Amino acid sequence: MRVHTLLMMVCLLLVGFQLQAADPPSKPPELSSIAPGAELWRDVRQRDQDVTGTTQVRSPGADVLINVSGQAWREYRMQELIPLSGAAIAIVLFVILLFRLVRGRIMLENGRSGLRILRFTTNQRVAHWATAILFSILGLTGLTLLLGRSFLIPVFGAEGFGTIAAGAKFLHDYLGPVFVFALTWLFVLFVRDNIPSPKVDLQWLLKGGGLFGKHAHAPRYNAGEKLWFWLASIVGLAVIISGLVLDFPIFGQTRSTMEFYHWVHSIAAIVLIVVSFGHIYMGTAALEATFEVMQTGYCDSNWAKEHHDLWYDEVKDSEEPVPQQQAQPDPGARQSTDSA
Amino acid sequence: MIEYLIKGPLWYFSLAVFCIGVLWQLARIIFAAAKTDLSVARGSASGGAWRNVFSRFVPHREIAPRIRLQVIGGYMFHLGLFALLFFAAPHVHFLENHLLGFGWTPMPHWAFIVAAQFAFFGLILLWLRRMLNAVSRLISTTDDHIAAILTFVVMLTGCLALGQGFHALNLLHLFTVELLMIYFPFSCLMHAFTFIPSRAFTGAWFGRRGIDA
Repeated sequence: MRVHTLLMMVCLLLVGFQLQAADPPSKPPELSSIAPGAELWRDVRQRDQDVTGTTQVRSPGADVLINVSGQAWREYRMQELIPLSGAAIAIVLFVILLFRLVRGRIMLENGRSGLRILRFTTNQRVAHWATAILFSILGLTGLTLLLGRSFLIPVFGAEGFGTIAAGAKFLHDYLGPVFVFALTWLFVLFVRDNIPSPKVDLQWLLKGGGLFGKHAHAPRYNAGEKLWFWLASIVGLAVIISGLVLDFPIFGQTRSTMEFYHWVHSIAAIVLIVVSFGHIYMGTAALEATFEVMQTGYCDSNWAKEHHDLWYDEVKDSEEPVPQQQAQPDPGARQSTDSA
Repeated sequence: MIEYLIKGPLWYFSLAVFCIGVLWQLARIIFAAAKTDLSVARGSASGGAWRNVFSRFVPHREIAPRIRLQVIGGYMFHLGLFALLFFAAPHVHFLENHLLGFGWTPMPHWAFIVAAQFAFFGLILLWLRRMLNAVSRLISTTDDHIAAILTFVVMLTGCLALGQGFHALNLLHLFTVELLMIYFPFSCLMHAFTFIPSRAFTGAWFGRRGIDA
């Protein structure tokens, strides 16, 4: 029995030795075979390149796991765009306040004449105020989305701000396209008299619009108003195009396209908003008898002489000044056919 | 508590005020004592009524250029609002689940966006025209302004309510709708129900007398 056991052990050893001789020992396994996703997760962690894969979802960028430019955009938006936008608004408001303190309210030199001249038709005023209302709603909701995080979270809390921001976004998205109609209509009604007159406009600019000294001659619209008109039209067009691209992301826009147009939209809108502060101030509180012009359509004849003397010379013969207190027929009723 | 109030008692109260108020106003008009016309008819009253109902959809050629803004703004607003009210998906679902028990195919999202643009721009144009035109401003009443502003607020909150995940925004929209429903029967907004009978009555009167207007 012992002999049999011993023989079996010897045979097994011999077989084992032969097997080892026929099959040389392999190298120890590579680390990658132990953790097959290591490369992928290293890419995910490092975020220095787009990580793409395969997917059944058919949309631009659907195969990108980590969009590196998105993180760069987020950092740019949080660290540069938002602070710079806030600073631009604060600086412009400060300049307006400074101007008010230095120059005060600018009164009519000769007071009111008691006579008035038709300056804007009803259609022109409706177009102006429709654009102004939409601009205000879009500006407020846009600023809420851009800067609200800094100012509203401390007041309403994170959840409250979430609700406000969601509401602002929907309002902004749905009212945005209406602004296209309003701005286009405004452009059509006002473009004719805003075509630059290089000589007169340059002189007006060189004299600073007459705000700090000698009188500056001006036609129906002075160079400052023309600059605002063309800025609002051109930058407004940029806001509209970029806004439509952002509003309707169903035409194959990629993430980088959306980021670019988001950048254009924000910058252009901030430019419009800060310049509009100047327009609003000049049109309301800065100059005596100015706000009523866009309110009623009529301007005082002394106002016309002081601020738009070249235009006054043109219309004083064709337009009969009328007593201010007398009830007047609606200006739009007379001119609506040529301005609608 | 607020949610319970808006979705419960206030909703049923506003619905009751709206339905009873509208029926009461219509009954007042229908059963108003009208003098019997003893004159010999020179034309068809019913023909005049039908003609007037449809001919008033287009302004007279003589005044059309002067009221172009009202016509364009009016059609934009009313068609846009009609489409939003009866064919926007959230409204169709609401009517089906809370009022009628049946629904219909809502309009696609692109049509919803177009209708919203028309309604908003039209209402802004009409209200500004009312404010900035000397004659319109003179003949406008407080009721006209309240009705326009309330309708605008309901449309604005409707935009906010599109964020379905934010319950407070939905409640805000429902609340403003309830305010509008309570105000509706006692205001100029009743023209939504009375403009056809009013045209028909005037047209019948004209038709019977042979007036071509």
